[in-house]
Amino acid sequence: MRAPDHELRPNDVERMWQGTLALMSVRRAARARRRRWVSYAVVVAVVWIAAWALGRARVPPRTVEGHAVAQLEGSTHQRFADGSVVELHDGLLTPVEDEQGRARFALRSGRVTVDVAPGEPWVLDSELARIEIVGSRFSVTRTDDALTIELERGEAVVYRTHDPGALRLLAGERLVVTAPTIEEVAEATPRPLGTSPASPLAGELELEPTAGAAALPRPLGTSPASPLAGERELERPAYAEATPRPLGTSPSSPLTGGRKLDHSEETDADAPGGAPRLALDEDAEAPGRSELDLADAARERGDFRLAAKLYLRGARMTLSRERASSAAFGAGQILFDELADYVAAGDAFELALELGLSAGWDDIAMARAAESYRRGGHRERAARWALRYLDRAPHGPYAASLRTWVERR
Amino acid sequence: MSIAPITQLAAKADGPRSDAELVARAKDGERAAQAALFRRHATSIHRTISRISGRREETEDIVQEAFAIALEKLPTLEDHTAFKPWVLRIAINRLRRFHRRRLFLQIVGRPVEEIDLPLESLISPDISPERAAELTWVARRVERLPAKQRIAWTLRFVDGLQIAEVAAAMEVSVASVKRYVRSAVGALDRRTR
Repeated sequence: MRAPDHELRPNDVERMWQGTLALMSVRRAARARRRRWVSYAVVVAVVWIAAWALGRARVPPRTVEGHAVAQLEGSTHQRFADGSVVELHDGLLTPVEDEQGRARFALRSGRVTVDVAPGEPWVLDSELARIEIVGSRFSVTRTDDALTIELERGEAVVYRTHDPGALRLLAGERLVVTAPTIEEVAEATPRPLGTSPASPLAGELELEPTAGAAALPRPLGTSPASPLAGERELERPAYAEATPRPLGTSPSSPLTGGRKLDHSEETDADAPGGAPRLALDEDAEAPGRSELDLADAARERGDFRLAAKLYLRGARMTLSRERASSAAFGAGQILFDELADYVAAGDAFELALELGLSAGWDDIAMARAAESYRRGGHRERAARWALRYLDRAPHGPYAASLRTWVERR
Repeated sequence: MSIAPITQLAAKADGPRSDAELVARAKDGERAAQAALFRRHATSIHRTISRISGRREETEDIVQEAFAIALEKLPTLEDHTAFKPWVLRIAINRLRRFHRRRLFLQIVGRPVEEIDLPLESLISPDISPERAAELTWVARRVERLPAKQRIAWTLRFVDGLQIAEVAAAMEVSVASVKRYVRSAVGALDRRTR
């Protein structure tokens, strides 16, 4: 067999062995070089990570827990680790410990604008209110006697210190929180909430002076003018339960996670001038001055128009639909029983039904809406609600009278 | 550093020894044992690779690289008796890498090394001219087979390796080798027809 070209001669073997040895040394050198570069890369990576970590550590922490507390003072611009940006103007902003681990600061003085990064909510405390914001841009200006909150984006919930109620603030709205008298609060919440041009209630009722005669309160629905009074007595205890309660005082309130709020003040020794700051405890006996509480107070004084107005406003501002529908129902009762403003009463009952009344009360609201519109001259709407009531409760307590009216019509 | 000729190194290896013994000594860095392993197996590996590659310089490069890698990684070889199949496996891998590089060069229009060790050079001059012509025809068709089929077919039918040995050399399963060989034979049959 002839295959000389495929076979190695002895000198070829020798030459290739020398080549193999040279190749081995080249590969060894290349390996050493590669190892050196990997070492350099590791060192660079470690230095870079360390520099990044140090830089990150210098960013003021968003939360207190596990981080050094960073106090912002004067006029400053800070970007926090989560991307939130804080602009402080002639003020003092100090971190506050939050049991839920949220970013929480107290505005001691001045004005602050916060661009909140999406994620955990920001909480901003002051003497007059606590503001909870998620993914928003907002400004808060603190003066001696007022707190101005302006929301550019997103949504915020404001818990006023001297008021167990919560106010929801939408983008573009502005809220001024002042000292806690009824008159002042009423004037300090004029602009956006419940009275914004977009509100369906806006312009329906004018706010009247609150200094009315202190009439003895009469239980709702017991007015001699009540169309239902002669037919069937309302179940008072059940209604009492359904009467709007100040926000945040319900054990099931979504605003408090089942915890009652108290806005008693305590002195913060660290704050300049011993500025008070908010604290949470289990005492729920604080005087109520939210719309719903004010409405209760106005009703007890006999200032029914203001009470109806505040119930309706509260129905629009309250986060709980159950509470809101009860408030609207209460407004309807007052408008019908006390003010004989039947069309407005019908609207209020309608609103209560839209917001979703609990079972049993929705039948009553339908009947009362029908009666209200009937008296107000809105026969079509009255008939619609009467038919809905008859459809729902053909043998209900108001069925006979409503059926008679519908048939005569 | 002066490099001793392989003949002197081989002499230092104290005559014929088993692969296992040479590998054990080479693992300890004994240059004479490494040279002895090279001298013992380089010719055989070179022959196999040259039959598949068909290129003289490429074959020498592949063999040198294969031995350089093998001697560097010798500490990882557990079965000291399996030195030759191990080097062959490394050489086949390098061969495939060279083949891929050649394909790339062809795609980008760069000149590639021509075949200077054709398979037909293995044909014995003692056979009849008709038979020689037929084998030449087959050899040229084999050079056009896909790399895996060509490697499997050459190792199996030219070098006479068992299917399992071919599979070990190619680092594929026995079934894959059978498939490659079957495909190669089928292709040659089709082309013969």
